[in-house]
Amino acid sequence: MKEAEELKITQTITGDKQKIAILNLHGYLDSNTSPLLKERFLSLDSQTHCFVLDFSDVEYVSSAGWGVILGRIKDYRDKGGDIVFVRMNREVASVYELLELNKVMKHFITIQEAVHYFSGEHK
Amino acid sequence: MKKIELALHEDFSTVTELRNVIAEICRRLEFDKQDIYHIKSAVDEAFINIIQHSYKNKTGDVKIELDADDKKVTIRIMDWGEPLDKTHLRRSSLSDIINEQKEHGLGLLMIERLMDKVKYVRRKKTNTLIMVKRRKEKLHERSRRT
Repeated sequence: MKEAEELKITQTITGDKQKIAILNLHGYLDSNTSPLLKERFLSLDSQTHCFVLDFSDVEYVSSAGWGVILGRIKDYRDKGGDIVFVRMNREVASVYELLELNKVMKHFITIQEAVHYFSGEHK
Repeated sequence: MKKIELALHEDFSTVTELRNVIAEICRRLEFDKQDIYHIKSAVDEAFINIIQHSYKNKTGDVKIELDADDKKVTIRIMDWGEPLDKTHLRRSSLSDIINEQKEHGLGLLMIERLMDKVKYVRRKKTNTLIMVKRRKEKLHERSRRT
């Protein structure tokens, strides 16, 4: 039996005029761990409304995890920001597509592309 | 036909172990990696729904039965809590969830999208969620028929 499936979040703030938070999530985003992501969003609220979620080390996302993200989008978009994804694994991406989240959110191959999206080059 | 039964009496913390057990069973039943992910996700969502809505965030008994054959796995998840609130069956759309800044409402939608067949039955104070996942046809089986 595996040990508890945890979530670790590391952050980088980048950008000159427009601050962008790049959050690298590592582990499992589910009903037990999604409050950690919500806390991180709230703690960065005064700094930025632009978030790149690097999902390359995310093994699993439940509805509670997707829900925390969807619950923040309107607020950020109303303030000129957004939440975008980078590098989901095949399984997580399959759920992202089945839920049709790809119709309302963006998923980039590289962090650089995601940062360019916020800096206006692809917007 | 293989039949497996799991009996649980637990809370949220059990969901991690439950996911791992379901994944391991599905691996032994030779489902592919993506189907294993979908099946364990659907069981996770159903289990969390039971804890939150049927048992109102308290502990309670949950029984899970898996019946597998060469074409599909049928999963029955039973609990003895409150009946499913019919308003939960009215699925939220993604735009509703985003515009109303809701963090909940995706669980049932996920179950329906991840599994091939989903049915809820309430009988004699027992709630049963029946979910079916069909196996992907293996390439060699398809080519053998053509």
